[in-house]
Amino acid sequence: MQNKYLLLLKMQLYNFFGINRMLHSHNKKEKQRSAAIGILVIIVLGLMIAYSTLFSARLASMGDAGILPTISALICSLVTLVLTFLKSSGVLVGLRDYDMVMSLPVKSSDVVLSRITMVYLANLLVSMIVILPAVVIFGLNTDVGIVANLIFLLSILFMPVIPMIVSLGLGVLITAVSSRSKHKNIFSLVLSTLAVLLIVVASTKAQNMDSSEILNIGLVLSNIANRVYPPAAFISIAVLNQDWLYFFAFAGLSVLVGGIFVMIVAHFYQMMNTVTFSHAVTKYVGKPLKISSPVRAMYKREFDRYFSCTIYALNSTIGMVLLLVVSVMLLFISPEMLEQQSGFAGLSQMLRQMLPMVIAVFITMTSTTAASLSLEGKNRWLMCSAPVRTIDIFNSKIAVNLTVISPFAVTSILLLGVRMKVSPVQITLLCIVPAVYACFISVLGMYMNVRFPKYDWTSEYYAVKGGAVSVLATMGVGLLSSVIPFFICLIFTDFSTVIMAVTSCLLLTITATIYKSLRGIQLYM
Amino acid sequence: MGAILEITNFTKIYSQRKRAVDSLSLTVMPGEIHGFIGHNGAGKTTTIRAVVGVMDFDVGEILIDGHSVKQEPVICKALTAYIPDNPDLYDYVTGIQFLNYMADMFSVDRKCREERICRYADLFNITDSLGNLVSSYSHGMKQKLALIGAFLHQPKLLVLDEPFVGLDPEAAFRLKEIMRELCNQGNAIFFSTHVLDVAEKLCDKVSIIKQGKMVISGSMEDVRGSGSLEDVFMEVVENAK
Repeated sequence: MQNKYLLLLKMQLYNFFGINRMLHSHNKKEKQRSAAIGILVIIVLGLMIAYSTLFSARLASMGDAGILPTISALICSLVTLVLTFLKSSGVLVGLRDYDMVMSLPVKSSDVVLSRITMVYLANLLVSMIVILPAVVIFGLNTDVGIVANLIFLLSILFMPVIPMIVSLGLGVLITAVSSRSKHKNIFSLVLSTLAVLLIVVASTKAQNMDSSEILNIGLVLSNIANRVYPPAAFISIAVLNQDWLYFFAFAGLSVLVGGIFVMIVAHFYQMMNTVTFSHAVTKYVGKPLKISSPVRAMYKREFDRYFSCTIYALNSTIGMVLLLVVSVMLLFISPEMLEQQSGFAGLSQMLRQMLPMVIAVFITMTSTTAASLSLEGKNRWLMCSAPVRTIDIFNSKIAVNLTVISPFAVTSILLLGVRMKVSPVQITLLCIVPAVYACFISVLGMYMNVRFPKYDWTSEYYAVKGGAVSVLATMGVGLLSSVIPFFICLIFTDFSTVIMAVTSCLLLTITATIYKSLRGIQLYM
Repeated sequence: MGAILEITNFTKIYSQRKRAVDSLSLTVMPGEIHGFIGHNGAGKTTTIRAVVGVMDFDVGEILIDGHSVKQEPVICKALTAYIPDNPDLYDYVTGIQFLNYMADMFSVDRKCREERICRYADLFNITDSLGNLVSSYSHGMKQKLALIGAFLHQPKLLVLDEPFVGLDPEAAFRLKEIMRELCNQGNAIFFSTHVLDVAEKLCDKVSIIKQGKMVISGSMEDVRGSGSLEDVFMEVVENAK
């Protein structure tokens, strides 16, 4: 008889990347969509491997491949830490299938272990992307021997374990603490946004460094990592000294930490889920109710939806948050100083001219509408049976995207406009171009989601990310619509005003055409 | 007096081979509770979804209070309330926010909405929980909340798909009371059920559908004759084999 843990794991693997659905679906469209997503995933993985290889090669070319084991362990740990944290809330507790799984004749530890194994497999994939190129570069650039390479290679299996456990522990703790709060998603959203910003700022800083600085920070990081994260030092010593003892110490430590975590969570598993599923009961006291028109009521509900789903809000707002961060950062660096530092004469003038397009690029990364219809999921009977025109449903969703974009865009325009000392013509463009792009991306996202809805999700993640064609298509088309004119303006700087004006008119026409086609659509279940 | 619901020659074809519903016609008059009965997969839910305008169809016509579901969907939906067999509600709002949202959607004025929310929530014993998130509700509580949301605008036509599943005995009793009350005010109810005892006691008219085709439709007395509704239903099923 098959091990219960393996049976549980097998059932979860069926849903991994939708492989089972692709194998057994008789729907031709679904198969084509799965194939397209598969190709996209392969391309993204390829790019990540290329980036990782270049990074390792750059370190090696600076003559210190010896720090590669520590640095790659550190990067792998940080990536695992952040990625696991972002999705940790729904991995162990509060799962939809909890009742069904726990009613089966299986031990809690088998359930917990099968859940953690799934997270481990996903993190292992990331670790391989980060470390495999480092192993190859390390092997080619050092003469430490085959055993060192073998130890480095085997360490991949254990590298994600400890950071994964730390993140999962943190996630379980936050879920348990915030489960009684009505604002847990906002709390989670703020934390997640901070984490993403930290990564972006750190990577931007790294990109701006020259070779000696990178080597320097590499050594500093390596030293810090060795001190504050001893397992990184274990790997470093094991690889560089070809010391199996340190390798087994590292592997043993990882397995031990993982084992203890599984035992603790398994022991309290039922209790933790009971706490998560139970809610604070407050006695309702009647208050006067606020009356709204149907469209306004839908708009308000869309906003509730936006804040109710961390991954939805984070995914669709991060572009605007980044724009605001860039705008604030530029407050402290004058355009002239930027020109001086970069050594690029005329940079400040060019920036002034390109400002509307720069803002447009960030705006085209922001579309709540692209997933808004998919997120209706099983609730869509309410939307479909409501006595409102379909276009009003779309309008309420479009209005939410414009509301999300507006405060960030207006603040950034004001900050950048004042800082860059733009001319009246540039002020006009600075107002018109972002406004046109905001309308365009909102309507485009809505159209794409109407064309490619994904209602049959088991987790909101799959409606917002995990292969949501409408989101990918909106992002792709949106970015192309801003990046292409951006580069045309860059090449023909003297005509940038005309190019932006023409682009705006063109986009406005396209937006109107798409909106007109939305008016003719009737929504059905 | 015209029919509140008039289905004429309604046909739904999911694929070239399968006709989910085939040339179905029926009428529901004001003040009437009309039971819609059939085995699993007979086409009840398909018909109901077409009636409430959440599913498209090519053949036939469905009129609600004289308005075409195809041509005037918004008017028809404003006259109707619909509860599906498994009502998934917005988990991220509180019970009172959900009810207020439903009242906004059907443009119910403040006085009426407050009165009706208070009355129906008390009847279903969920007043104290209205301030809690819907995600904290049990299946039965969600069902009750969906029902209250449907009653708020006093619909001319109430369409219910298996409304008694998941309700406790007291709530089921209250629901039957409210259904009768709505009909006494001149509204109509069209609902599907597998609970034949309830249908027999509650319905004025009944229609039995089998493999997408109407088998019997008429007043409860005419359909059951001297036997019970269960006998009639079993006879229909036996004849099908």
